[in-house]
Amino acid sequence: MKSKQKIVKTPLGEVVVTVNEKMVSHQNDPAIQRKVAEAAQFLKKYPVPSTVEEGLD
Amino acid sequence: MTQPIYPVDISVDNLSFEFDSIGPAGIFRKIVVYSPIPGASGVYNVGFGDLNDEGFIDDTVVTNNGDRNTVLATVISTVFIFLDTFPDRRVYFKGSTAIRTQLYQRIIRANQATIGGSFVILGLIEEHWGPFQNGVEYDAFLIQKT
Repeated sequence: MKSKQKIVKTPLGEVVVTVNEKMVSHQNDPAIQRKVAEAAQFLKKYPVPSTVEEGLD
Repeated sequence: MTQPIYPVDISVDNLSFEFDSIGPAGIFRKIVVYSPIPGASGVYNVGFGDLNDEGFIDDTVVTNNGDRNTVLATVISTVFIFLDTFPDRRVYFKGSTAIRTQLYQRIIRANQATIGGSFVILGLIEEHWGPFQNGVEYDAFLIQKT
């Protein structure tokens, strides 16, 4: 296993995760920007509960 | 129940994940991006799609690579990795189509027992957020650490 690799346990199973310093940030990708704008509009219409407890009521 | 999950690369800021879908149609690079949602403090959107030849994300493409469940399970796994890294944040997600939303829901439902120990999942139905329940078709999801 490479030094930047680790195995992460998740509820769905174990995942081999590798930190990749060369990965490009896609935050400004048009598709991502569009989805974030859609999410903002959606959550403006249907605001998420402010706390876990509120959401479980 | 353990799902097959692809190995993932993660960016140094822990906001982006990449993995390869491998199947009969070829190898396709998949991108998962977590982005803060303006106006919703601490809530992050999950963006997901294929990396196209121009280096942009295509979130509408259907690759038919015979590994749909593995791809979706890998995407959901990144939610848990993200929330383990940032336990004070919450993740909002909604499939790009109604069918994808239903598929996400199916995977959550199949693994609800193990997910419920560490995470709280809320679903949106009829304009209200409430605890995730089996047999209910939700429009969107919100996941956070317990």
